[in-house]
Amino acid sequence: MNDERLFDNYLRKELTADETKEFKHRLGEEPAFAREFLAYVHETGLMVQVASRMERVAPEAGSTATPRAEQTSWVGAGRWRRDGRRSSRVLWPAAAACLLAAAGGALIFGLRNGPEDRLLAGELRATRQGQTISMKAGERIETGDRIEAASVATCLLRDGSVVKLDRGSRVVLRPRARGERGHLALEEGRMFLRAAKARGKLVISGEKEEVEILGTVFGVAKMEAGLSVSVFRGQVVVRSTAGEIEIGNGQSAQAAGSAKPTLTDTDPNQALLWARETTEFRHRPLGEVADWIEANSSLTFDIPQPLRAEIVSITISEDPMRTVVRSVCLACGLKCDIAGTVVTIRR
Amino acid sequence: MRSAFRHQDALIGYAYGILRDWALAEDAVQESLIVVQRKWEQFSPGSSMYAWVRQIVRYECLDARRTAQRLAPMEEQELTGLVDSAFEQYADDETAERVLERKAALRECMEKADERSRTLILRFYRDRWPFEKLAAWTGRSSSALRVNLLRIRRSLRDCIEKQLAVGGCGP
Repeated sequence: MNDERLFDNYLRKELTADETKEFKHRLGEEPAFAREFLAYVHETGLMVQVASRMERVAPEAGSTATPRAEQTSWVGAGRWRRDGRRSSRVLWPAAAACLLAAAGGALIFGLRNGPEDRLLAGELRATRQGQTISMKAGERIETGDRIEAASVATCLLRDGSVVKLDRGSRVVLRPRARGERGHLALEEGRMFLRAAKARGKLVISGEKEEVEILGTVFGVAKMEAGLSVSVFRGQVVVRSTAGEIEIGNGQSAQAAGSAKPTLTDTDPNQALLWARETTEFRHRPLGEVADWIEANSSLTFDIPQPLRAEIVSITISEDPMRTVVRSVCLACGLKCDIAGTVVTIRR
Repeated sequence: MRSAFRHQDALIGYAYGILRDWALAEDAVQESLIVVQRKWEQFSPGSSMYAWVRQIVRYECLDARRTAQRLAPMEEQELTGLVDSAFEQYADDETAERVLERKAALRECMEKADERSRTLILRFYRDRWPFEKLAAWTGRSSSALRVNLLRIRRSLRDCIEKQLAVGGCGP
């Protein structure tokens, strides 16, 4: 077999038993093969990274087939396209997904400067004192910067909180008021935040609304009027000039100007649509898929032990998590009931 | 500290080689960079920054794998252990620098690629369409499509080599 295909099969977790044997043997015994493999892995990584920074392309001229993803992507969540531009309709209320664990407590950035806000991954354009600066991973974000995500960008705040901005989203790092450990003003787009446990308030504000974080994983989207908030885990207080509401696990709320914040029926699981891209499970046990979904959503599974070993192949991508769960059941020929956040699977 | 971030692309490549899941690999590296900032004082000046950070990434990958693949068979663990050893043996600071150079060159080559190839690359690597879906979209068989993608990669590789040979791209 062609070496590249072997490498590719390894990365796609599709090596057959014979190929696994060959791959293992050659990796251990042939330095040239090992070096080529490493180069291939790095190259694949670069392909993903460079491609991810490129703008969405129009379907080829003359192509009659419409890609399924473009027919269905953002259905339900809809109204927000991955290229970061808003449609004329209402913005999709952002929700949350598990991004990455923020380090507990305050972080030390560099020995001289003390804690700082930094760009961890992705690309940002910052407007600082009237000048526009392109920022790359590792660079410092300063208080007062107006940052716009040129790609999906992840920032690490000085308190250890991690913020993921969708492409095209715009945020200002406001000076911290007394008692605040961080203050972000969301001017456009949506953000996903995993707050670190630390003293002081962490605040996300809109024009007249604000969200105070009490230690949580959640998402906020700027609406034409106000903010939409979805909590994946933990609790937040959503506040407008007319009052406030506290929301927790699996809940969403909307706040607009002088109206009192209200609960909405947005499913926070849908945050996976933008915050986490495609995850593939190829020939994996159903139990593993269920564990992954549980770890990344508010759903819990009730599956008899023997069924957990059932082998399934599924790609979790831009569909709402409930659709994904139904697909898993369908693929296995199983009966699947979703009541609230509990998924019961039976044969 | 900046040099830890400088090697981010190579580190993600390493994490991807171990985890074979792009989202997990990115998360593992981001987690590691948080750890790096906390443990910065433990780095010995003069030693390899890339090797030091990669070791941290390695622990994050093991953690991520434990969480994501609790049911992974021993065979799988042995396989990724071998891949890890290959990185340990053959990937060094120079490798990480090369990744950086190649990234700049690849960006230029992707821009120059014909529309059809670029579309396929974007659908596959950025939008993560599976072969089956991409095959249905293009009206080709999965295996023909796979060959096509490998060919495109080869031509991009040639383009990168040419770019680097003429010194067209810097990191």
